[in-house]
Amino acid sequence: MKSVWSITLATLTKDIRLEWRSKDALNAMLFFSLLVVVIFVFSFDPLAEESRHIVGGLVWVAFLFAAVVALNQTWARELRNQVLDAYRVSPAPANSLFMAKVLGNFILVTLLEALMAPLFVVFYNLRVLGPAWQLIPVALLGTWALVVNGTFFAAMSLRTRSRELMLPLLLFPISIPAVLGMVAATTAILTGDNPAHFYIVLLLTYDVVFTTACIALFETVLQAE
Amino acid sequence: MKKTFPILALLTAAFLAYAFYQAMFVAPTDALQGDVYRIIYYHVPSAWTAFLLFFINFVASVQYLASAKPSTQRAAKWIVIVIGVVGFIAPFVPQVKQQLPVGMYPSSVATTALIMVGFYFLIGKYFPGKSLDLLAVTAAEVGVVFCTIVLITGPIWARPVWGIWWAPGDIRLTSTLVLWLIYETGRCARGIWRA
Repeated sequence: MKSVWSITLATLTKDIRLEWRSKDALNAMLFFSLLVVVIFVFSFDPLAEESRHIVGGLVWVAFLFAAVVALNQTWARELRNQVLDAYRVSPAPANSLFMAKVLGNFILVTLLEALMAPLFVVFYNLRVLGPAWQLIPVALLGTWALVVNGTFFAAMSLRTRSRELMLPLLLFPISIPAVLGMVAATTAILTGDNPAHFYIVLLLTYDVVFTTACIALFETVLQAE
Repeated sequence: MKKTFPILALLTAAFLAYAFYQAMFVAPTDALQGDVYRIIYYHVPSAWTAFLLFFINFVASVQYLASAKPSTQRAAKWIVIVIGVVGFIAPFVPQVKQQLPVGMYPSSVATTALIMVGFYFLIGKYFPGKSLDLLAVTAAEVGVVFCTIVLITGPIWARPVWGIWWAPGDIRLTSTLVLWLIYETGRCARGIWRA
């Protein structure tokens, strides 16, 4: 019997290798968020001063949509050839599978954000007025919040007919508190008007609560008929 | 329950009619807001009912999920007991007492904690096994109806009094809207779950 972490690592490496060879999700996400950025640039053409106030929202909306594209792909791969059923009967703990999927998505979405953030800076002529290093914890915590819930709800909507449609319906309402925290924190940092600490703590709390809940309930979701 | 349904329905209709009469004709008109304020006789009780039903849904759901294994059931029971004991004693500790908002008495907080624990065990006693899940779904469904009423009557009142339909930054409005959205999502999820 291998330990939980080695199984997690094995599943994660398998997923990353598959993604590296096919680049399905990454290509779709990159192009999709590029399109969103371009559409936003056409829709809102503000001065640099105004853009600082709205770009926090725009960035996270783009990432949220792109993350859904990736999350929809997460479990689809396991449905082919009944891989998921094999998981269910195997003695491997359900949570190591869940954590592997979450970590894989986390790496993917973080990569996307790292590639897309410069585009926003260029298109909106951004200059950060607050402490810029705080954008990193906000991005990491925000991404984790999206990805943990997203992976969980993607598993939940897996056995439904219109699962690609169901995921955003399930994910967005639950994510509203987190999205609020991310947007408010990003705006606070970009404008430098007020400190973002409260929102970072809010995000951290949200992450802790929902990670715990997802880990506690994932086995029920995986085994449910 | 089926036999008492007509009687209960009649009683409900009679009480609702009496409440309507009291709210519309007996209660005096508000000096500042005029007749618009009468909507609170509909809005506020709906909000209470919605929150009570969502609370029942919460308790029943937690208990249903915990009842999957005997070990988690026992753990949940002890966690609830600890919450009850801490919630009963903590408000009387001077440091915590200072944190309470003005007008909120320690005894009322302690009573609330006890009622919550009582709810948990009463629901567990009268709704064993699968019926916990049924209770949770029923409470959520009816709660969504009341929450919808709250969200519709709220703006109707706010427009003449505040001058705006919706105050985007208001914490209470936002949290109620998010609550409604989450429960609506839950309903969607339940629907597809069964299909």
